[in-house]
Amino acid sequence: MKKLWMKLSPFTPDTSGACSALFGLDGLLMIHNAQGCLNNFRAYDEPRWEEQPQNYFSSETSEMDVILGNEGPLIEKIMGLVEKYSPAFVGLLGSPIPMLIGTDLRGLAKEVEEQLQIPVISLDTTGHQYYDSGISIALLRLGQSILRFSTKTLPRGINLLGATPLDLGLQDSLQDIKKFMEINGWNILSCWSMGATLKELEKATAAALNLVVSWSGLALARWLERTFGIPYIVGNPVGQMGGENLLKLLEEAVKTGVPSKGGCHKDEKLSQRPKVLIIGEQIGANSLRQCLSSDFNIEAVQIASFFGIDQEHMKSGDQELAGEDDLQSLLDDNDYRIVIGDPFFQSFIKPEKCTDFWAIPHMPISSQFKINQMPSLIGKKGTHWVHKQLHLNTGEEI
Amino acid sequence: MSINSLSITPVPPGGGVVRMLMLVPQCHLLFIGPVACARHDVLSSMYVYRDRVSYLCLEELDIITGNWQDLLVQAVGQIMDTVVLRPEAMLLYSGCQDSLIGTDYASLLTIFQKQYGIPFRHFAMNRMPSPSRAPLVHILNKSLYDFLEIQDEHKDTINLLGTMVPLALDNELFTLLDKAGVQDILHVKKFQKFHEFQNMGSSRANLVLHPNALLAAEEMETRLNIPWKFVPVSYSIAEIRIQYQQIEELLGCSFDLSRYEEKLRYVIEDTKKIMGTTGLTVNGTGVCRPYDLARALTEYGFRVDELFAGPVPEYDQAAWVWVQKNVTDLVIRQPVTPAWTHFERALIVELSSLEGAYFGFAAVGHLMKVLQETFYIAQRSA
Repeated sequence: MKKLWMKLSPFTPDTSGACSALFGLDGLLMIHNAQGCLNNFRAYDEPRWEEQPQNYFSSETSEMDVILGNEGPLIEKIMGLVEKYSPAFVGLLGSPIPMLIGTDLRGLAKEVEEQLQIPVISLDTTGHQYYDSGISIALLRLGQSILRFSTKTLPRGINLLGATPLDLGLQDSLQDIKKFMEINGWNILSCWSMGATLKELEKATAAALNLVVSWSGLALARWLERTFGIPYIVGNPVGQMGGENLLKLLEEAVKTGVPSKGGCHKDEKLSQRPKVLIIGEQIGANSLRQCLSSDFNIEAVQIASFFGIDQEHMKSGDQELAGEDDLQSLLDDNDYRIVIGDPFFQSFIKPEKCTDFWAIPHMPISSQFKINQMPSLIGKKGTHWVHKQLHLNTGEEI
Repeated sequence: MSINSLSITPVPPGGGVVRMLMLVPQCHLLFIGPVACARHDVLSSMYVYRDRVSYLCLEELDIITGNWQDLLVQAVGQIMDTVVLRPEAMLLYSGCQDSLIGTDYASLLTIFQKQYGIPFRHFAMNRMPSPSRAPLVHILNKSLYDFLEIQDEHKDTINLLGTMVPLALDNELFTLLDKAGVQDILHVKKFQKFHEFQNMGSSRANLVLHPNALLAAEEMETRLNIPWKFVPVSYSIAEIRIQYQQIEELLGCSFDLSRYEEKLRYVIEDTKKIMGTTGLTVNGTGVCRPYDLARALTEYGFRVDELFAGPVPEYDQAAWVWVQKNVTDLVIRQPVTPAWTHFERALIVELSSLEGAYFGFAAVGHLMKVLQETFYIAQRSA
C-alpha cells in the first residue's frame, strides 16, 4: 500500500522546506496553523536553527476562528510582530488546516501588505507535500516579489538556485561548489537558499546564467528565463569529469544563450539492466550518475526518488517512488550491485541480494541524525568518494 | 573549582506522544494525517518503537474526497497481516484536520474490533487551541487507560497514574500499602503483555501523582468505578503527611509514618552538613510542584538562590505564596530564558524522570542522596 509507512518516518514537509528556503533573509514567517507545524522544522529539518534562530511564528489559530473563518487574530498577530521585529518582508505560509478550509492566503497577504510598508509573500504550502515543493514555492514567490530588470548583465555572473542545506548539507558542498565556480572564472551573484542576504538575491537579474543545483531551483530558473531571458544549466559539478562537463555546458550556454538540460536526457536509455541504483534528490542524483559514468565508466545507473522528478531531466528507467512499497519492489525485482542513498533505506535491501550500500545521508529522510556523515561530492571529492566506496565495499571494478 | 552553586533539574522528560502511547504493551500506533503532522513524533521514536508505529500519509484529495477512510481500512489490514508480532491492540491517532471534518471513529473502531478481534481506540491530537477542551497531555494520558475493560470485581491492588516510570522498589509506599493489605502497586510500565495490563482495570483505587492524569482518573472512576486521590509529588514533610492521610481515607487504613520521617530528618541534616552554604538553582520545569520544592529546601535550611518555573498551578499556590513571603532574595525566572545557558556551566543534580520513581519520604530521601552525590563529584573535580 503506497501511502502506508511502516519503516520510514514521514519526510520533511513543504512547510519546513519553505521555512528553510527563506532562512537568514531577515524575513518574518508566519505559519497559518493550529500548533506544532514549526516543531518539525526547528527540531528535525533545519540544521541552522540552533545557531541562528529566526523570527518564525505560528498563528496558533483557535478552533473557533477556523470554524468561523475569523482571520482577524492572524492579521493582528502579524502586525504586532512586524512592529516588534521590523523584518524586511513577511512570509505567510499555509498548512493542513488552511488547505482544508480553503483560506485565500494571497488575499490575506495583499490585505496585510496594504497596511504594512514591506512585501508580504503568500506561500501555498499545505503540509501534504514534501520539502522540495515548499522550497520551490518559496524561491519562486520570493523571486517574483523582489526581482526587477537589471540595467546591466555581468557576462561571468551566475546564480546558484536551489542550494538548500536539506540537499547539500550544512556547508561543505556549497562551499565547494562556490569555490569550483570561482576558480573557473564564474562570479556568483546570488545563492538561493543558503548563505545569502536579501540584497545579494536582488542582484540576481544581472547574471548571465543560472545554475540549478537541485529540483527545488527549477521553477525559479524557468521563471527567470521566461521573464528576464536568463538561461539555466542543471547539475552539480560532481566528480572530476562531471565538473569539467558541467563547465563546458556553462560556457556553451553563456555563449549561445540557449539553455541545456545538463547532460541528462529522457531519450537516453539504459544500455543494460541497471547495476546501480541512486535513491535521492533528482538533480544531485543525476550529477552523481554523470560522475559514475565519466570517471568510472559505470553506465547502468538508475535513479529513483520520493521527491520531485522533472521529466526533462530523467532517463528512461528512472522512477518516481510513491511509497515504501515502490522502493521495496524496485529493490526486490532488480539485482543491483550497488545502492546509493540515505542510510534509512538500507533496511529495505534483503541480505540475500548481496548488494553494497553506499550511504549518503539526506536530511529530509533521516533528519540531523546523520548530517555529519554527509560527504561533499563536488569536483575531485566526488571521484575520491566513489573510489573509496568501490575499494572498501567491492574491491573490484564493476 | 569552587562549589558555590548546584543546580537541581529533572532529567529532560523526553516524553513525546509516541513514547507515552507506547506504554500500552503490545499496542500498535497508526498515525493518520498529512506528512507535516507527525514527522517529529515518528523520528524521535523510530529507533525504539520501529515495529510498533506506522503512518498513513494522506494527500489533499484523500481528505477532501473522504477516500482516506478506504485507505485506513487497507492500512489496518496490511498492518495486521504483515507486522511480525501481531498487535494485541491498536490506537488510531489523528490530527487537527480530522478533528475539523468530524470523522465518526466510533463506528470505525467497532468495525475493526469485530474484524480483527482486538481492541481499537482513537486518540485525537487536535492542536487547535480551544478553551473548552482539556489539555492535550490530559487526553493523551486518558488514551492509555481507555484500553482498560471493566472487570467483574476489584482486587487489592492500587494503580499509580501520571508518570512515565514505575515507583522505585525502595519506596516506603510499598511497605506501607503491604501492611494495609494491598497486594501490589501497578504501573502501566510494569506490563509486557496487553492482557496483564488489563489488571489495572480491577484495582481498588488510583493514586494520581501528576495532574496530567486527572482526566484519566476521572474517566476511570466513571467507567471502571475506581476511586482516586490526587497526590502530586511533594518534597515537604508536612505535605507528605497530609498526602498519606488522604491515602488512608481512600483505602480505609492507617499508616505509621514516624520511622520514615525520623530517618529522613537524619538524612537531611547529614546533607546540610555536607553541602554547607552551597546555593541551589532549582529547575522546576519537569517538577510537578516547583514552589513546593523551593519551599521545602528552604525550610530544611538549604540556600535556594534561583528557581526556573512557569505559571503557578493551583496545587502549588500555597507554596508560591510562602516562597514570595519568606525567600525574598530568590530569583525566579521563566523557563524559556537565555539564563538556561547557566545549566551548561553549573553542576546539575538530576531528579528522576517526571518524578515517577519516587513518592513521599522516599522522594525527599532521593533528592538528598543526589545532592550529596553531586556535591562529592564536584569536590573531586575541584
